[in-house]
Amino acid sequence: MPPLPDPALSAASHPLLSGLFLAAAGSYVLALAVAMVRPRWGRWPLAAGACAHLLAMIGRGWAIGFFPLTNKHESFSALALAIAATAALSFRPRRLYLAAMLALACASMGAALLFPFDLAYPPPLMRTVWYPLHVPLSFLAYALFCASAASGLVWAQGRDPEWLRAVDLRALQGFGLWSLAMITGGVWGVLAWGAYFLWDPKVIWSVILWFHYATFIHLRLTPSLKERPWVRPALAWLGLAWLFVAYVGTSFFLGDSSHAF
Amino acid sequence: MRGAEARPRWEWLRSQGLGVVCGLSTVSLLALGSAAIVSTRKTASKAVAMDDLTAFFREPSVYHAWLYLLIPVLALYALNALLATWHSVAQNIARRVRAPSAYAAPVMHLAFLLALGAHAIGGLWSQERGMVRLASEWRPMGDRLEGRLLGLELENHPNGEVWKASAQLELRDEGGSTPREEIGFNSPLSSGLGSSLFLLTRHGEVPAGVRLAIAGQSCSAKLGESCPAGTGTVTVLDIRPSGHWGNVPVAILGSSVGISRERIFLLQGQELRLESGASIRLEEISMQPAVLLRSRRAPGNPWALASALLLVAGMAMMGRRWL
Repeated sequence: MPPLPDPALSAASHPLLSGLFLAAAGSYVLALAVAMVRPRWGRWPLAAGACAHLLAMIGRGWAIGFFPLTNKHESFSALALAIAATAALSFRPRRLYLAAMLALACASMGAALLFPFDLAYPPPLMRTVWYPLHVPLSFLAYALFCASAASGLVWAQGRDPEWLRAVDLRALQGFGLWSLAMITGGVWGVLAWGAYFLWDPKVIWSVILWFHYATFIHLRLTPSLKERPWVRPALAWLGLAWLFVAYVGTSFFLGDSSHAF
Repeated sequence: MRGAEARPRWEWLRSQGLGVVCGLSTVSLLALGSAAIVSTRKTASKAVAMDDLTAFFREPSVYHAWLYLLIPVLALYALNALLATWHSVAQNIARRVRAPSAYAAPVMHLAFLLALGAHAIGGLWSQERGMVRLASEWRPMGDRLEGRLLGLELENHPNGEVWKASAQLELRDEGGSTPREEIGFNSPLSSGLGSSLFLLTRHGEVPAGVRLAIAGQSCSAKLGESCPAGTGTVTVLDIRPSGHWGNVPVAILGSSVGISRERIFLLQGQELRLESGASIRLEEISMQPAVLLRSRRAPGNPWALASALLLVAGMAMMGRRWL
C-alpha cells in the first residue's frame, strides 16, 4: 500500500524554500536581461540568484535529512544551479556567452517549475555516500560542457583564439568531472545492481558522452585538424546535444530506463 | 627526409587521427545501439539484460549490427591507444622526462584499456544465479554456502516509508565456519572484489508455521513438520498467507492414515473432518522476517575497479593542466 501523503513534505509547508527558489529564478531572468545591456553587470544578479538557489537546496536537504535530489523538480533545479554557479564562478563579461549560459539556466529553471515543488523522501537505494558524490559531479560536468559550447558560440562570432582555449579547457574540465561521475556511479552500480554497466539507455548515453569528450580532448593534438579549429566548437555543440539526450531524452523519450530521474 | 622514409608502415595505427575516427565511430554506434535496444526491447533485444554481451550472439539479429561493428572498432581503438601509449612512454624515457604529468595520459590510456577488458570479461562471463530466500532456517545459497536470517532491522522515514533495511545473516560453508554478515541496500554480500555478490532485493515476512486445532487439541507446526491426528498424522506442506485464495490464508496439508494419503486445502477459520474422523481447523498462521537475495557472478568488477583507480591516478598526475 503506498504511504499516505505527508503534509510535512508538501511545498505549502515550506514557503521560504519555494520563495528562495522563485527568487533565484527571478534573479537568473534579471541577470539575463541585464547581461544583454551591460554584460559586466550581469554578474551580481547571477551570483545573488545562485546564492538564493543554493540556500533553497540546502533547506530542502535539511527538511528531508538527505541530499535533496529525489524528484524531477529538484533534478532540473540542480542542473540550473550548476550552470548558474559555473557561469558566476568563471564569469566572462561577454554578451553571447552569458546569454547562452543564462538561457540554459533559465530553461532548466523553467523545466523545474513544471513539476511539483513538493519534497520527497529518498528511497533506500539512494542511501549511500556514492549518491551525493555521483550526482553533483554529473551536474557540474554538464555545466562545464554547457560552458564549452557557449564559449564555442563566442569563438564562432569573432574567431578569438582565447575563446577557443576556453572551449578546450571547459571541455577538458567537464571530461575530468564526468570521468569521476562515471567512476562514482559505477561503484554505486556495483553496490546497488551488481554491475557498473547496464544495457540501459541512461547508462549507454553516459558512456556515449564520455567517449565524445574523450575524443574531443584529443582533437587539439591531431595534426590533420590543426588547420580546422572550427571542429572543436562544432563538437562542443554536438556534445551539448548528446548531453540533453543523456540527461532529458533517456528519462522522457527513450523507453524505460531503470536509471531515469 | 630519410627519417620520414624510415617510419614504419603501421605508424597510422597509433595516430591521433585514427583515435579520433574510432572515438567518433564508437559514439555513433552506441547512439544507434541505444535506439536499437529501446525499439526492440520486446523482440530482438528481449534477452539483453544487465551487462551481458552473449545475448547479442545467442540470437543474432540485424538489429544488433551496431554491436557487431562496435567490437572491431573498439579493438582497433584499443590497439591505437596501446601503440600510442607505448610510443609516448618510450619517447619520455628516451628523453629522460620525469615529470608525472608527462605520464598522466599513458596512465589514463591504460585505464581505458583495462576498462575495455573489464567490459569484455563482465559481458562474456557475468551470470545471474537466481534468487535466494532466507528466513530463520538454513537454506543453500550456491557455491556450497548455506545461510539463514538472524534478524532484520528497518529504519523508516517519518511518513513510514522504509529508509534502511539491514539484515543479519549467518553463513556456513563445507568447513562449517559461521561468519556473521550484514546485508542491506547498497551493501551487498561481496567476495572477490565484487566478482561474486548477493544483493538484497526485497524484505518482508514469510509464513513460519501454523497452529492447528485437531480434535480439539492445539498443535503448532512449521513447514514440513507434522501433528498427530487421531490414528494418523497431518504434515504442513505449504502455507499461503493472505493474498492468495481470495485473500484468505490457507494451509496445504498432507494427511496420512496407514497407507491412505490425502491432500487438504484448509482455509483459515474453516473446519474440516479428516479421513480418520478427527476434526481439523486452521487457527493461525505465524509469520517470520525474510529477505530475498539476488545472486550474481560479475568477474568484470575487479578489473573495472582497477581501471577506475588507474584513471583517478592518471587524472591526479595531470596536476595543473586541469586549470
